[in-house]
Amino acid sequence: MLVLWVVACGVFIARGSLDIRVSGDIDGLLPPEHRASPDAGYLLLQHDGDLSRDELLSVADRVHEVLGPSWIPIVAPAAERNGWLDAHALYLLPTSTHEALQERLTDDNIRASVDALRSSMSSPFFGLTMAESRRDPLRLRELTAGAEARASWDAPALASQAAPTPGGDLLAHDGRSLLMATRSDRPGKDLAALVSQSVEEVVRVSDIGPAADRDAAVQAANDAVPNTLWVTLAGITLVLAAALRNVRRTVAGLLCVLSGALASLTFVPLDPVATPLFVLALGIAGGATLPLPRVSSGGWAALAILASALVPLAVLDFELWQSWALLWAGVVIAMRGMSRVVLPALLALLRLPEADRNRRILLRPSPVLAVLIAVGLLSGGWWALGKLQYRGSDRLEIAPSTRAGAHVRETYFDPALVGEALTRGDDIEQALTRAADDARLLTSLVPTEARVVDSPGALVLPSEELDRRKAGLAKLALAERLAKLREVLSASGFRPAAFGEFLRSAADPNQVPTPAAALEGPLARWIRGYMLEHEGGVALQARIHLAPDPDVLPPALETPDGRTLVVHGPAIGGRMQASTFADRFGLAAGAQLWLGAFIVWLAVRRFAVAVASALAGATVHAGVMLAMQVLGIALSPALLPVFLLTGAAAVVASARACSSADARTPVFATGVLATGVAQATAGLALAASPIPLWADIGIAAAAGALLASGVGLFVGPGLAALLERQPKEEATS
Amino acid sequence: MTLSPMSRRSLLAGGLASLTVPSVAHAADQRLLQNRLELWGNYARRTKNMMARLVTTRETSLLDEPLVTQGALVFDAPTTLLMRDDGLAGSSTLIEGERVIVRPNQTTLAKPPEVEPAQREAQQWLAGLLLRLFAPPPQEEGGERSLIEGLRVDVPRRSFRLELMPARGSIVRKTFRSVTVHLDPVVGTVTQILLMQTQGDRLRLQLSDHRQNVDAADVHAVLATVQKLKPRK
Repeated sequence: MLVLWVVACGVFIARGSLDIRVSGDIDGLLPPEHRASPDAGYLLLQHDGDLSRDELLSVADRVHEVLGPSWIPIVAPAAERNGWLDAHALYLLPTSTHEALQERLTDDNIRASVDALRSSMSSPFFGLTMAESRRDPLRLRELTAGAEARASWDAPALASQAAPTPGGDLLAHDGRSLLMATRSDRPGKDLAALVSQSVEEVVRVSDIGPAADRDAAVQAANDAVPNTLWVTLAGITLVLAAALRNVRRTVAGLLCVLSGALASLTFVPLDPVATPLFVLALGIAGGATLPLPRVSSGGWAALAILASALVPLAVLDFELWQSWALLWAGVVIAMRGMSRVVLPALLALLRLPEADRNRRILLRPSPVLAVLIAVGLLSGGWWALGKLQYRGSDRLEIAPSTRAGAHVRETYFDPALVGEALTRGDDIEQALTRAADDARLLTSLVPTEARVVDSPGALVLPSEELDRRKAGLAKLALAERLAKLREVLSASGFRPAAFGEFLRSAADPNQVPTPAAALEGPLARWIRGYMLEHEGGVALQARIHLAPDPDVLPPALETPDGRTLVVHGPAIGGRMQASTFADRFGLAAGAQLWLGAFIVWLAVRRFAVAVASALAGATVHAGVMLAMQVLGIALSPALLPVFLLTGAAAVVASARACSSADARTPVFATGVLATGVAQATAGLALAASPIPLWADIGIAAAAGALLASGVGLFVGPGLAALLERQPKEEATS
Repeated sequence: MTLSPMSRRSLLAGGLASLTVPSVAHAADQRLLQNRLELWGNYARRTKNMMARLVTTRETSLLDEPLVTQGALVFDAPTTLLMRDDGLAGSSTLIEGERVIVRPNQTTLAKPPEVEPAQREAQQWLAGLLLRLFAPPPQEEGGERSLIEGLRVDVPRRSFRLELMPARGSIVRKTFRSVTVHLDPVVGTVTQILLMQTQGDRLRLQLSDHRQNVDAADVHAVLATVQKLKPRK
């Protein structure tokens, strides 16, 4: 047996089990359709005030050349945008405003507009609004003030403290940073490195976005893993040594844990979110090397309960946890298998006894104490459940926030709050035509569900709407009204030529904002930045900057032509999960407790012990919630396995204690408690890691493990005794 | 070729002179600037409030001819400045701390469009500078320099002017090129402010008939006339 074990360990090492690397995504808990595209990202250029605005814009132009097709405009370039707005000012007014437009075009109101313009010219501040006055002397754009105006082409600028640049990027108002968008299958850090070389340290270049977040998380996890594993193993060693007080036995136990870990690493993929589960499995394996009372004579029940602890996750739609439902069973079987198979052989080789009988105690079940503890923790858990904060799968804290990321959130917008809705078409013109309808529909989300909607469809009109507006404008006798405006301007001392762009475009009925015109004009480059190849056709993105309220979820919208418009994105996925998390949590926890109780019943064939063990598990769930509330840890899908594992540990500890109490045999209480401490040690090692998510999982797991041992010893047997006594008393009476 | 002792001395003297000329010129510029600031500070330091007649001239490509309006300028230390045109055809510009309100004197006319976010820094820059021009400088020694803090300054010789410009790299340069302040050579009052806009407009504010520290009731009476123009909270 031992030879086989040594050979197996050699094979595990040869297969690279010692090369522990964390890789993979950080959004594995989000529904696949809501995960961020890894191709999209942002580059932030920053300087310390050494460059003027023009110099920074010149650097940005150089960066555009270096990036080539990987750069996409984040906003419509200012000059082209203004040109389009000027050329189609009247057509871009919705028909609902035509009545108000007619009112503005009366003789009196034209005169009043011109008088107002002239009156403000004596102010030193007139220069700040002069360009706007020149482009729109009648202030017609005020007619669109409201939701539709939000769907403008400046949407990212509206959502941020920045202004569009002539090139199509965003420039912070203080001129010290510039944000540009990229779309490329090359990693963002490669693009940032490429740009850094080209700008020769004139500016700092930072890679922002989902891919950068993932890279940072993987890097942080890889940095943290060695220390976390060493601390865990050191903690387990300490616990085993303290519980066993025997060096050789401690070493034997530790070798079993290590070989179990090596075996697990041959099939377990470590990613930044799930790595803590592997660390917790080490703690469970460490505890399993202690001599513990068996639930039943077969000795398989504890293994079955722990291995099946995460099975309920297989039915929930957290893809990462679905895969771990079975992976966990494999890890537990591999690790505890070593304790069951290899440890006795090692102990026999070392001629060591099973355990020191002097430290065994006889458990005396106390129903009163059990009820008090259970009621106390369940009440506390119920209280905590209503107060616990929720952190969605989209906001897991793995890598510490970078200064550049914080700057983007403060100065520009939060990229994590940008969702997208896709409008599909056979070609870009068809997609843009449909996007025109969709953009207007999406603006109904402003301001409740969205802050702004950024869609190229906002600048064009669908043909039916175009016809309606054409007919509406035809009734207004525009040519005559604009001649009147020219006359009034001239009479008031203005040069009508200075307002030529407005007067010409407004009077020209053939300048219409159709998709074809937009795609042939200078805005085409910007529009194509929203285009994605999609199932043989194309799809145009609308980027929805979501309202920050995490309780608000954009509904699916029905388009006039029968399509359903759904907003996707990590924030949407996270918010959707939040709305149903309580149900999923209840389902998973209930299923795990039922499964554990069923296995206990199969093992001992006593209903009271099974029910008491399940109640012990529920008590631990409540206790963990209470601990989380007290320690300020938010509830999250990432912490779901912690509840199931600590619940399973409590079921096992309770079943063991019940069996010992029932058989009136002394229980190795130090071992039961030390098992909990070993599991808690793994949790504390995680709590000491620099990764906030791991720390949260570790603290909750440590609290749960300690509670599981205590509740198992003192609540399980007491409740079982209470449940079994009732029928006897009734029979007696 | 060898140089005679006389040539070497001349060369050395010339070299030294060329090294010292810029620093001497710089020191002279600084003296001139300090002189202008002290002249301005001598008057401004005593200001609790001030009223003056105001003639505004805007030269712009929007108009066939420059627009000339008459009005009054009222300053109430430390942070209230009103420029009010006479008559209903004009407008009133009120600066209160960081708040700037421009309204036509005829209340039925539409107010000017809102300043876009990108222009707010320029708005605050100009509002702050106009306030500092009339407000008393800090009492400590050299307090007059608060007028030019964060600005580039040019002091033309043989005239009592200060040309104040936004700092290099400032977003304000997109809107305002410079503000030239003319001072009375004897009293130190601001007699003219010439605002050069980047897109070509020039606005000249000519001040006359300065009355410093008048009865506060008179100032408040004028300021009260524009209270109705303020947006309601």
